[in-house]
Amino acid sequence: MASTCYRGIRSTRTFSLCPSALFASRRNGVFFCTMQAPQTKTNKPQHNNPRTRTNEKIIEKYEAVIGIETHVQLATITKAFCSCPYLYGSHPNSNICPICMGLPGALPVMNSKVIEFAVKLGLALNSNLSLNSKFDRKQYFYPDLPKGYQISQFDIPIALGGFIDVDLPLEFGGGHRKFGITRVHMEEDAGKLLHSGNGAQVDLNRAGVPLLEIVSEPDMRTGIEAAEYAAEIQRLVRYLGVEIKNVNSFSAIHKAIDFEISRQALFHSQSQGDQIVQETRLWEEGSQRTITMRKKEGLADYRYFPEPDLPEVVITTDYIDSIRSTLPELPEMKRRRYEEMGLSMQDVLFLANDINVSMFFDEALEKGADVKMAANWIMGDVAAYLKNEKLSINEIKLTPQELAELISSIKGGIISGKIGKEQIADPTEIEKMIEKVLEENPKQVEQYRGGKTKLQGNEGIKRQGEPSALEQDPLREIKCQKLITLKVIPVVTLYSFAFTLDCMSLEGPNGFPDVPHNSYLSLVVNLINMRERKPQSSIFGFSAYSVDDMDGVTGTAPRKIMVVADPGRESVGALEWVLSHAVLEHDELILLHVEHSASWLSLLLKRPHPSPTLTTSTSAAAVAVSARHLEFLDAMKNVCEVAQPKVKVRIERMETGGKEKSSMVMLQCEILSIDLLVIGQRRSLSTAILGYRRSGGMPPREIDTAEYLIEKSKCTCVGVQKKGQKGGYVLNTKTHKNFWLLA
Amino acid sequence: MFSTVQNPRFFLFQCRFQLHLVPKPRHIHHSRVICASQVVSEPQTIDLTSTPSSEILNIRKSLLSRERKAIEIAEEYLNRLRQTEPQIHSFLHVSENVMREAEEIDMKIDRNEKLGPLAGVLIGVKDNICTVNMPSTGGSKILEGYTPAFDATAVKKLRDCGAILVGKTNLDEFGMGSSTEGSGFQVTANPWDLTRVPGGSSGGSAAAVSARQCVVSLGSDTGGSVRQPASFCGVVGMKPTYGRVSRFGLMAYASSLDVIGCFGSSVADTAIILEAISGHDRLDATSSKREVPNFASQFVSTEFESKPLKGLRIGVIRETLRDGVGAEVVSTIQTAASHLEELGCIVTEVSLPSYSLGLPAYYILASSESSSNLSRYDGVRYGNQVAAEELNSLYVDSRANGLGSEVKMRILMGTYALSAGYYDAYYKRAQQVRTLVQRSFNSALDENDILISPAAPSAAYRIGEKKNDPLAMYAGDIMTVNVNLAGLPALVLPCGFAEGGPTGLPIGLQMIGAAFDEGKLLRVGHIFEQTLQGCKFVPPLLDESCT
Repeated sequence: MASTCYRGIRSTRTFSLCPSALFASRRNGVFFCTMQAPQTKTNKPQHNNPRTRTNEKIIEKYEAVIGIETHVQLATITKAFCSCPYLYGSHPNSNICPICMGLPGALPVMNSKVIEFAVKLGLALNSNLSLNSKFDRKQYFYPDLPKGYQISQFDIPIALGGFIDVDLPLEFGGGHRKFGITRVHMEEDAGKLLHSGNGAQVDLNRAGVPLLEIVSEPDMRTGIEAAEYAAEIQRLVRYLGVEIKNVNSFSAIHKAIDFEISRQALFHSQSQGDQIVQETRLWEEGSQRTITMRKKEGLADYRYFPEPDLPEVVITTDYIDSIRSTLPELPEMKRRRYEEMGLSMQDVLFLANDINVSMFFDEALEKGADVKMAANWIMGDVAAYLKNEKLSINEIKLTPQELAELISSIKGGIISGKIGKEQIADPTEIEKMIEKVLEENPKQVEQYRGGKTKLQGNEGIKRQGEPSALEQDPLREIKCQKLITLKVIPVVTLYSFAFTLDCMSLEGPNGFPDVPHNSYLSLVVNLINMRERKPQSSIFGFSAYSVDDMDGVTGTAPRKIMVVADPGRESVGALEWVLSHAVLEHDELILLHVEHSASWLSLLLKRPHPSPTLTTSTSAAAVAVSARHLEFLDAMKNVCEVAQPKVKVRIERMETGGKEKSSMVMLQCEILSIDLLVIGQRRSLSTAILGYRRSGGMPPREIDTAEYLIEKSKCTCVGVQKKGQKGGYVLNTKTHKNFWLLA
Repeated sequence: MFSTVQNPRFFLFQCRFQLHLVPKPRHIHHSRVICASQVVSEPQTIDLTSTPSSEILNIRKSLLSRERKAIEIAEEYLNRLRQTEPQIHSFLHVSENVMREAEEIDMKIDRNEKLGPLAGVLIGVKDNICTVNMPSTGGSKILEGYTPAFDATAVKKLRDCGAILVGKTNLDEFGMGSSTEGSGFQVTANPWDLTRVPGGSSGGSAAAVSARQCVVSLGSDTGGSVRQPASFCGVVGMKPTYGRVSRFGLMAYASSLDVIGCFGSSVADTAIILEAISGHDRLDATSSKREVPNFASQFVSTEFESKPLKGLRIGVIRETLRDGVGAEVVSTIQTAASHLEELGCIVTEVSLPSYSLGLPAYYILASSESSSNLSRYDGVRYGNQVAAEELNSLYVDSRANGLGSEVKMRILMGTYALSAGYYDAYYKRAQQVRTLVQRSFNSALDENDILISPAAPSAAYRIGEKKNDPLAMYAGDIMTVNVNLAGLPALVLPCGFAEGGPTGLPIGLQMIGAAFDEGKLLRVGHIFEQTLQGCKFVPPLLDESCT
């Protein structure tokens, strides 16, 4: 918590964004405001966003003209004009000296690293660098400004002009944009005021910290363009290694500007344009709206004049060239290169957006990883894991080298993707083990080769957790020997797939891993069964639902499969998996949609009885309720009927009635005697797989509906995550975690 | 009657508010009889009969030969300081450590340890130069009681050379003034005539050296603040090239014009101090990386050939000897020019057409920069803070109370000149004039080795005479401000007298050299000084007691 807070505060200063939105109304002239980066959070969400449907029409009549001013805090060791270090989080006034305190007689001396960073950024922004620029004093009184003026650059900044290229995310329509840069200049930060009960106190630790201010041309027209511009600037400075790490919410910029566009457009449409004044507005994340932060009384007169204490900044073309030669590959270049490799724009954006991710990816490629597979791995499991654990890619144990080896092993068919996730330390060790297993179990191997579906010693295993499971396990000894060191017992069949006993916690009470409650052999059997029944399925095909419930899959008895259907991508992924891997002829497929009865829709409809009620899609009442709301359910149903014409499909809808969604789903499973429950999932790898380097405990994660159902459902429940367009699936059941199913 | 261990603030109060309690009214201080009665009767070591010699070299010689002890020398200066200070008021603070530091030097001598080149030399430091163990107020009430956390680079260099800081000298508040009447604490009197001003803004430093309260002193020169008081007090004043001496630790008035300069009773002493404080400083980005020549080596000899300055081209600036310049001043400078001619110089008249433009340009630039430089005196972090309910009144009241009227006026002028819409008409235009001044100086110095002019249009004027006429006061800077605009070095040394005071009032000759050509100025100054006949520049205050 502390660390989150810490980052939050830091972000507002290190990379504060002041987009000033200028609206050129087609009828009403020009008006403008300044936005402050998100700072406050209120706990009361209010739904007062003026961007309603009627508003959309109003907005269409206006064109928003947005320019952005960005402050980048530079990652210099010392401050801009003195030798004080800048260490964030130090005690107030502990990183100060006579110079940054502005004591009488103290003089600033330029930190040349600031100029180097400015030149780097200027080059990266395609700007014209001024060979002779100078510093000026910007004068105003404020207690956090020790000298009574800020050293800045006024009429001759270090870099003028330029542009950046931005690829908009596909979910916002995609497309390439070029945004102009007006100027880049160097300046120093001020201190900060700490308000306490006794009044305000000044902390000058930050005073004199170097900043680069980047001013854009008013080229942005929408919130997403502004947010992407800002994100690209941040990306750029991170690529250049210029900026101090920070966290910032670009989605807040997006939302704030869109809100502001609506707000201002609304005023204009009501002929109340005079209500819009030049001011600084603050985005309130909680209420999702902007509020007035401070109004400027006209343009302040900063009485700029050349800083007499600092000589002119003179840079030579040789110096510029030497810096140019050290520039890394920039995001735009990287995106174009990835594009040429054949990656989709979605992949390109994901991989190039984070310098660390792109470095990881590039390094993995360098070590020989397959482009597409490396991309899938990074975007899929690794990314999900990072997100879940709030880690960055260079904080995990997995190295690009290991990933590359993993991928080539998978590609070579030595191990399955599933094993890959178990963070194999030494692939040769595993190969040796595989050979050993095969040597020691010639009978079983022979049986496999002969196509036998059930292996000796496995027939009795029906239920997980039975002591007999282990005793009857023909590979028990090896397992027990190797479990301690590797936790991975691969079994290789001629089908080139292997899998493991997973979800084992290494930290069992006796140092011996907790033996999982299922047998890998039963899984093998089932897979082969599946193959027999559905030969067109992938060779890695695997039906997780059957793992825990061998009874339910014997023969061709019709089963009831229920998919939790929501309008999100997760549900669609889950359904796709069901259709391609799980459902068989004669099975019945139920699409269950659970509504929050407290949702706006329910409120709108003023339902008298919020208790769980069931309706069907054919019910006239439901159609009357909201035809639009059911569109996605109908679409899903149509997909099912096209993909599996012989499968019966029906839709079930219910309301939570204030209860947990998961318990509603479970109730429904019981009522309908469901054999297999499938739910789309967002989360991915567990900590056991990739591990993390960060010290200290992780905050307990909120268990989501899918996880809850997987653990508690009486029938088999499979959590499905779809990995990209061709990335396959990751499946989770009570006993099988993160089973990777390649497409 | 006056102790060095006295609380400096108490001392100030005594001076300011108990003036009427002093039994003898000030206006008769210039009377020879009264002066004599107040001055020490102890044996003096100042040689008043011959041409000025280097007091620093004398001290060094007598210490090394163990002829005298450092404590004896210090005691002598302190005694004189105690006796003259009640009339002159040149110090805002007197160090309590002088005797202890002198003892340490004696112990070093006893142990045969190496002595710094300035060992045992008592130095006064202008109060706008930061010193770590003494208050540094800049002559302003707003910094009353403020003791810096660091030594100015110049001060540090002097300490490293073994110098003893005797105290902090009075000045016009933050250096803004030409008479030292603008001090927030006290008015300093001219040792030559106690009813007259010592000049300013480094009036305290000039008066202290003139009255031999210390051997040498540091001042600062933004528009003539070293040279004009040197002229008024009959001492040698050196304004080095901008960038020659680090400004780190000098409370900024106008950063692009400020330089730390020095005073001595001889050119040789001035040169030795200049050498000690010169050089690049990584704490001042505007300090020059040029090597510092050995200024002092050329002063050992006092015997000269008949034409020691043969072939040296001297240009007398025509514009400085015109209307508005005192007749005595003009004639004294002309006599000095003839003297230089006798020494072998080729003296010609040169014209600097932009000369008269310098003064207004200077006042715009200096005011503009000062309005910015003085912003930091807001009462928030240091200095006097007035209790206030809200932020604006904290600023307003602290500054209204702490800053003097001249300072406020210049802040207002500077703020105005930098304001939107006026910047081009004032600040920018003044910068253009500055360029013109620089060009005309450069071309004059292409044809001449040294330019000469008076250091001030008149000799010292009476206390209060121009206090309420700022324009007249500003006009007095006409001789010096151009040199600051051009950033050139200039040396002022006494060259004659005007009528006034008990024994006449000294008049200074200003020699202006090319950038970083201080060596030449000092050499010519030294020869001029050593060959000047019939003048001895020891104020009557001391003269009487010694003869």
